[in-house]
Amino acid sequence: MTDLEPGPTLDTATAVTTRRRRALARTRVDFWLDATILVGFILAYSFGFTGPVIHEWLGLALGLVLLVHLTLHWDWVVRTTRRLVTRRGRDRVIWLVNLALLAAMTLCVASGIVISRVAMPTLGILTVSTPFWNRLHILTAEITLGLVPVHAALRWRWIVSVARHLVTRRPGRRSR
Amino acid sequence: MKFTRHLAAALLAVTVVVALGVAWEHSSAARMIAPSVPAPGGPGFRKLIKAPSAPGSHGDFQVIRGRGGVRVVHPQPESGGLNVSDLQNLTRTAEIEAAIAAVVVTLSLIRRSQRRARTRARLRTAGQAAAAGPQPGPETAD
Repeated sequence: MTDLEPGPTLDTATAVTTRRRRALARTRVDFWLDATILVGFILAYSFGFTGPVIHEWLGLALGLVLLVHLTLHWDWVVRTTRRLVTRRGRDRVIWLVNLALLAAMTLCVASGIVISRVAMPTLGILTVSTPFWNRLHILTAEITLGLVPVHAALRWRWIVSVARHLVTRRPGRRSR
Repeated sequence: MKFTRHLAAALLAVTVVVALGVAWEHSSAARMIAPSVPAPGGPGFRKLIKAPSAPGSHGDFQVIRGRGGVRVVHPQPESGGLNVSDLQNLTRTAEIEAAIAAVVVTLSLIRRSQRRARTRARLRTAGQAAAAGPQPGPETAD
């Protein structure tokens, strides 16, 4: 009977290694995607630097990447929302910040589409803005400007830990 | 499959937010951010129109008839490209982001150190109590 033991044990070890590799790969994807969103938002907010063309295309791209970000973290959204009552105060703060950020960024991108002068006409859709959507765009962009660093800083330990892992990783060696 | 399901859920959440935004525009609360917004049912002006000709050339313009009148729209009003001379605009944004993040991280560190100090104090008290051994009970007269 003991001869049969190494088989399942090896299988379990392989499964654990595979799962760990996937988790690490997913962490890397999360990290780089989040970094891209942060840099993209800083660039998009700096309208004077980017100009309207880059601002609008970057904003549209940011909207798509945000959708992917939300999709990748949907598990967290569901899990945290379910346990919202029993969770600690910090988790509730993170949940509220994320909810506000979702609303602000979505409205920012949506209002940006409505008031678009370059990107949407290039795609064959002409948009005519109203003062409401113009002001909503500015307001939500300013709210987002305040919430993005809060959202990132509330997870600073994860950021530092992943960044350290990525920096200290030896080149040419795959992490296990 | 899981990704598709989550994407659908995320899209639904985004749609709800956008729908709330549209509802806000058509409600009287829209005046909160745009006092000049016409009352619901009034001569509002917003319309998405499919461009009849391929836009792209400079000088193209489109006359759009909306509920509030006629507007001329230039599909390509500006040329693209970074305005490097306004780099200060970018650095200011980055500074604001960094400053807010620094405040949050500092608060988090202070909160963490306070929590650790409380835990240490509690452990010290418990350790002192354990080191002192069992306290002699009150003497009783036999």
